[in-house]
Amino acid sequence: MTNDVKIQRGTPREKREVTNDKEWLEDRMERLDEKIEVLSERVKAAKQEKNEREKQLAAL
Amino acid sequence: MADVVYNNFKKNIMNGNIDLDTDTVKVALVTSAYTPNIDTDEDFADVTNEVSGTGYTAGGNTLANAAVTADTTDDEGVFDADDTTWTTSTITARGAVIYKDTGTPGTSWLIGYLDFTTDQASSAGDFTIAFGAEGILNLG
Repeated sequence: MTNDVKIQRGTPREKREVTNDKEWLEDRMERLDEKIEVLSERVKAAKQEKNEREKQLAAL
Repeated sequence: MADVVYNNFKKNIMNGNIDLDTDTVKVALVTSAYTPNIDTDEDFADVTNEVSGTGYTAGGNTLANAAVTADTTDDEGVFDADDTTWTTSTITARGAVIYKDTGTPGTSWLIGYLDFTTDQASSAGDFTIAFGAEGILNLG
């Protein structure tokens, strides 16, 4: 004998539109490119600050 | 017990340790023996009593098609993903832990705990968590 169980959280929703179709994947790629750019800027800024702090520390 | 959001999740999302729509986010099932501690539980190494059984792999399922949106009506951020199912499974669970998976339990940051209230069991069948219209997590 088999038994399925479905735990419904809150009000059931309509079927989600985000499937692996071309439009969703293209949008996803675009957003990931934006994130890569933002994260690269953050890494650059953190490295720059680290260099400045090292100089400050060395001067003490 | 009720659904909870771990306090350390709030910290980790503020300092950039978690990015819900690009990180690998998983949902793991736990038995009634696990009681979440929102103050001290921080990573997946803190989670005890994960379920075991046919059709269940330790660590749980990866949430597919994760998305983060802004709900301008309710003034909330919304995290959502596809429903998740353990097919042809024989498992009993009381709740689910949602977490960011890094492959290392000690750095896999916890997000929230979903309380099923009572034990839920599948027997050679589908064990499904169907997320609601409001998504998985709302931050207001």
